Amino acid sequence: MADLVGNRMYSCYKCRNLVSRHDDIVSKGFQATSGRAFLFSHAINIVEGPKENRHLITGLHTVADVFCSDCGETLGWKYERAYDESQKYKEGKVVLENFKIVKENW
Amino acid sequence: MDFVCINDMLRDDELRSILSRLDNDKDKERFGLVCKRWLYLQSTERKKLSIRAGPHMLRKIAARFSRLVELDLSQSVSRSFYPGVTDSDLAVIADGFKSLKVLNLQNCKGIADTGMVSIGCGLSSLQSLDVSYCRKLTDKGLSAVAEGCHDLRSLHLAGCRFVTDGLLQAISKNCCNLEELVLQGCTNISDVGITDLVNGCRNITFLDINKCSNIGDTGIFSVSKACSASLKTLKLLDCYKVGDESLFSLAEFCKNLETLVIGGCRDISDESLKSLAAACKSSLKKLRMDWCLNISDSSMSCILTQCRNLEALDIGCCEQVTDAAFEGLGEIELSLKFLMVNCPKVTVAGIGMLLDRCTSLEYLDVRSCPHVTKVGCEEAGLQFPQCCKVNFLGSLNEMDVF
Repeated sequence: MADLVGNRMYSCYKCRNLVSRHDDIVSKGFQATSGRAFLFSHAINIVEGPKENRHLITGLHTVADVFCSDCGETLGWKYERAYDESQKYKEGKVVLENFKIVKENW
Repeated sequence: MDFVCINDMLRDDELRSILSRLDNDKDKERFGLVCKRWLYLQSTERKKLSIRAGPHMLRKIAARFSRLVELDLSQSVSRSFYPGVTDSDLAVIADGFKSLKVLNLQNCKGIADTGMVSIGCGLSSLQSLDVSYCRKLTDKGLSAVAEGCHDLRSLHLAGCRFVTDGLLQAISKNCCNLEELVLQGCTNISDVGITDLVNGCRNITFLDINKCSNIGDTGIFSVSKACSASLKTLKLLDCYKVGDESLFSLAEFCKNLETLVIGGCRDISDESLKSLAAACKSSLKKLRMDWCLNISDSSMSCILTQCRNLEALDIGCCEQVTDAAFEGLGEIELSLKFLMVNCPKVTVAGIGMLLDRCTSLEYLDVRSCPHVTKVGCEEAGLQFPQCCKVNFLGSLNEMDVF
């Protein structure tokens, strides 16, 4: 991502590794175990865990947990596949928990 | 006495015959070092190249290897050099490699319609084109390819999300020899486009319309009827509008079907699956039907007992399937090599019954089965075949079977 300068970025709360851009937020209305979470169109410097089928509040999905690529902290999850039509827009996008990410100097 | 130079006496075809008997690449290169004539013969003998080159180098390569048949310029998913293949590079290729039959441009994200127009105008012998994930391409450029390359047999357009029914119409009119078409992720295409496509292209053996969620029973009926003898592979992942009618039409018309992906086609029910099992019992080798929530033991049992050549089966999240589906297999030997049984009701007993019959099993995936654990299997004394990998935890690499 060559245009990091001048962008409002989020980083891992533990090690300050840059993980996402504020401009990539698709929705702010997600819920995780630790509280609120944002849905991003994509994230960087993250590692994906194995894919799993989970029954979430919104139905059956295939998700993979995502971790900070530097310190390994669980930051959220990525939607791989959605069963319901109304949920298909999430495919390929990443949920990051607010508790796990911090604003990087803004 | 006059000396006769052997090089003058040997004709080109004799020298080519000598060249063909060299099996070592190094020797072939040395052949090319003898003189300009031998270099020309060696270079024009070369059929295939995988390269990464800018426009200047491409011109030189085109001049030297003028009879190239296959060219691979595919890039990795994370672009490894900037800017990658460009439209002007494609113009050089279209101009220089007139005998080209196979062109691989997968992940060449920089190319656009202009480049495709060059390809269409210049490479009339092209038979195979892979532009998967070249996301800028639209109907305009790709129609030019269809109109110019009449002998197209294989076209890969995965991830080209701007493709619409218009392109399918152009392909139908111009490329009647088409055998293999990949439209995975081309979400704008509909039943109308697919019906148009198979009107003109009746020899399709491989059709991948995974994730094309507008496709429904009408489209699949058209495909079944038009390509009945040729169709071997049909992929309909997450085409949730596809239902029983599609399976009934496949059972009626497509007796040579070998690979079927209907994962996520939630409306499919037992009756149509049973008719498909009966119709394709000797041909079916791979069946992916994960997330088909209406499927129960009765059709599952039919699939296992009738489809004797089945090698790969994925029934993940088929929530109604229980151990009963695996009873009554009698003494049949199943040819299954890859088995994904991530069903919440299946227990160690069910897995045991399957193992008794699957002596060739190479991979078993049970990572989402709440009742099937490594400890549980050991306690029950289950014997896994020698070379079989078992995935209990989801930590193994995903198998790319379907």
